[in-house]
Amino acid sequence: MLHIIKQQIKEGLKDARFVFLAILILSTFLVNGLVFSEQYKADMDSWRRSVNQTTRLLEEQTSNLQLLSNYEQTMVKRPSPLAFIAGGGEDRIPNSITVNAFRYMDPQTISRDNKVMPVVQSMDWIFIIGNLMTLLAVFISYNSVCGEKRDGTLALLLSNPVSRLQIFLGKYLGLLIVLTATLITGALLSLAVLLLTGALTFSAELLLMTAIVMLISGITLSLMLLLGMTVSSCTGHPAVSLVVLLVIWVVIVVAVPGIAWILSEQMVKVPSSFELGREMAAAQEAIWDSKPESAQNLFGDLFSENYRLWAEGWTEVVAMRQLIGDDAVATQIGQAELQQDYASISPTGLLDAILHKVCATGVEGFKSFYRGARRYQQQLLEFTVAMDRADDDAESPHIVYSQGNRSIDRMFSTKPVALSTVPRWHQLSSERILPDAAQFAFIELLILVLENLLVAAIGFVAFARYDPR
Amino acid sequence: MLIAFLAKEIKSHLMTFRFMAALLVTFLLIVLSVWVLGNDFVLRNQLYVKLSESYAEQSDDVYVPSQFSPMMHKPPTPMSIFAQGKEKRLGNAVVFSRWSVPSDAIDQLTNNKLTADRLSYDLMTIFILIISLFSLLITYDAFSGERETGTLRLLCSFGLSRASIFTIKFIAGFVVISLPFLLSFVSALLVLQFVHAIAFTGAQWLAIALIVFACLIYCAVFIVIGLVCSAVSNRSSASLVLALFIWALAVILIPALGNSMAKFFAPLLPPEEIEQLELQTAAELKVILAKYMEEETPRIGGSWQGAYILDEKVSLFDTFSVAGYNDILQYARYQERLKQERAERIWNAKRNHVVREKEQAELAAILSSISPAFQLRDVFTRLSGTGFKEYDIFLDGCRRYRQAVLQDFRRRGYFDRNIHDLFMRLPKEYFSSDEVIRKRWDDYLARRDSGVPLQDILTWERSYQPLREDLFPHFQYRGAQPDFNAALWPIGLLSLMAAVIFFIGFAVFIRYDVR
Repeated sequence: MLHIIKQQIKEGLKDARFVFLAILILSTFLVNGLVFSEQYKADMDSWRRSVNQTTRLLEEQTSNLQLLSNYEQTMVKRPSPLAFIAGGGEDRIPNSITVNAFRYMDPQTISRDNKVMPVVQSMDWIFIIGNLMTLLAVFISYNSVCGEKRDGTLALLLSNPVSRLQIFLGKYLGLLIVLTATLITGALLSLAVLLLTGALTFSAELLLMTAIVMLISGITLSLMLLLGMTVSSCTGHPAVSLVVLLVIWVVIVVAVPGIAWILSEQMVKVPSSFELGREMAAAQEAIWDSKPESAQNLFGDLFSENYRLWAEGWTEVVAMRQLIGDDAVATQIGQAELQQDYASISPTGLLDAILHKVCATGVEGFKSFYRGARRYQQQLLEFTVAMDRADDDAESPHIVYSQGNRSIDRMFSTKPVALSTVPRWHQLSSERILPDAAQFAFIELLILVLENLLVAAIGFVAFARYDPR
Repeated sequence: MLIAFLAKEIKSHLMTFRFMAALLVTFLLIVLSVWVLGNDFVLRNQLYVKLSESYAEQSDDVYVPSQFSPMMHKPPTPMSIFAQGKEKRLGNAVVFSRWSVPSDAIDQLTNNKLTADRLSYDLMTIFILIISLFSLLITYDAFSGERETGTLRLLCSFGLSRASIFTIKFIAGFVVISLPFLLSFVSALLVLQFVHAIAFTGAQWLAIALIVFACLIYCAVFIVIGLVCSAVSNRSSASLVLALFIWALAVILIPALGNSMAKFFAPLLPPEEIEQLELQTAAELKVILAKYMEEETPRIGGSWQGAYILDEKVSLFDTFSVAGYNDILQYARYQERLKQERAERIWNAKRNHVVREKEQAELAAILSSISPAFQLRDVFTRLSGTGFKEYDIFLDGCRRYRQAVLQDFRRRGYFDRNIHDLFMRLPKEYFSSDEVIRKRWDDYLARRDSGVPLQDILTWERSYQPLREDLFPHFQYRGAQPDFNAALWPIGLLSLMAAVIFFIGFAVFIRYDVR
């Protein structure tokens, strides 16, 4: 069997078509490295500048606790260092949220890109491996069996005292080695470019991450190879096999994700920002209607009942609006995840889902960013309440509340605070490259492995029954 | 003889499994894509209509001209069904403001930005990626395949010149690819008509016709590429690989590299500059206005009243004397002038940035111009009106509308002699003398202390009649128009490519060894 493997590898490497395709794949990895290194550096630069600006602006607010707590910071999500793997659509995912001590809202996409530039296909590893290398897998496997039959060499091969299982495995492993060699070379090339241009720094974590991604991609490509060999073992003519495989490829790469999108849009209705605005306005009105008249008339001094009711009312309104906003975001996330789930029916969709999870980009990245915003808002609120308590100014009723981004002067402490005591957004921490266990897509990986085994079994049965004459 | 040969070629292609599969896949993809995006367009359009209506309703809340802030909407275009372009990446709504020049639009029609990162499978993408692949597959073994099976020798032994053989192979391939496409496209149009009831204007129909024409030329380009690859190598597998290599280069690599290189050679101005300018001018303005209020219009007094003026909600409570009232007017005039000047200053800075962006995009276009995929994309986006140009035209329209409204306000004196009318709800008589003002204030206090609800007291203010809708200019936008002039250039280029590659293939085939 070892001999068969060696023979397949040699044949594969010598073949002109493999050489061309390999050059193609390697050059796309090179382009990937170049494009993403430039983009990452530009993104990190602009992110650092925005963080510095936020800090500077925050400092200006520290002279007055009330102003500080109401001051709306724009938190921008740190660009992911693994965008070169799974960051193709990162520029359209919301990456900024406005936070103050009372609410976090308004996920926006702050884009530094040139609006005028025509849109091009983003070439991250998901695209290269999921679209181009799967095509390569189709092209090296479509005639692995029926091509040999046509050339007449299959009968010769089978006449050796080697079992069909060994031949099948030998062919499979030979092709797999060729494919993974290309993959690893390409990946290293891409990494080399990223490291040399200084976009990323070398670390054991980065290497481990690349190894994990290689493993996952290898399993996906193996599935495509097995598919190719199975189809090849079902037909007598290489041309037929090629066409069937190409149709399958189009279904896997284009049709399934497209249909997944349709289905997810039909099944989960996401409210428009207009509807949300209306809902919030209605809720707000309902809250004020339920309050006594005096709650909306600000007479008397700060300590009077009116002011207390006013503050209570507004606290309820802000909480209600936050709830509605959170619900809307949850619906959006639900729709996006449903789309991902449906698209995972295809191996490319599954690869896409796994790599997005593992690299914490896409929807996963947004989820943790949003949760982080909520945590930060709570920290700011706790800080405000604590600082207010520490202030024993008798001229203020010390009711910590806000209308969203302002409060009536002196309702709570307006003393200055030290910048160093103010809670800060923690995304400043170093690049997190390795996924936590929770992020690791175990189930999806298992499904991928099972699919491999299933197709291998079918393929082998087809090959075992194959007539080499 | 020629006709017979042509007929035989076409038949031999049509009878293959390959063709059937290509037909099926093309049909499914095109019809599915148009159906899905048609549905999406209908929903977006409904949302757009609802938004326009609701904003029209909200004009009921405009009591004074300073509250006039309509939203200018860009309707979605049905042509986006064929080419999404930037329809979902750029905004489609701008809020009118006296104090800022429209330079960016917000997106009011996209509900879920999280799903926006998926490749959109519009007709343009399908064509660029998949139909080109199919075109190559039809012809990659036109010569090398026949050479392998030995029939090429036979073919050349007939009385046909090599020129005619080459041309006929091309025509056959072209017919075989254009039939599925035209069939699918017509079905797709029928789906749009009957399932979604989407209507196109005359200009849009012409644009669709041109798009179909451009698509056919695009197919032709790849068919001749396939023929060339076929005529260059002896083995069909080698020509397949060469063809795929060229496909990946032309369709994927060159546009990506073109963009990257343009970003490298023509970098943009840092956007932080604008943000800095905005913050800096806002801070400066705050200081200047505070100083002015202190020095020139001290009778306004009190941060509460000051805050009200900035919010333009001056009411009875803020003026206790005629002098104070005059101060408010003077301050408002000054503030208005300064804020409008700031808007212009920021806009001028932004304009420079946009110029640089356009230069970078032009460089990318030049560098990618050799890619037929890029040219086809250009045709699609220009004819469907979903490129940057339409967005620019819309914003320009918004700016001109703002100018028109400002001029109207100026004509009515809202910025100088009639500034009272700009934001005050109370009639001028209420401020005719100190006694009148005092009396009203005492009156108000008396009523409030006797328990009259606030809403009833405030009916003294000018009757709550909203301003008439037709008082001010209305925003008109003609909707995305196909840009025929700009589309002719890429179509021409595509035709040129097809012709040049045809002749190259022809030259290569002449020397092809058929043995």
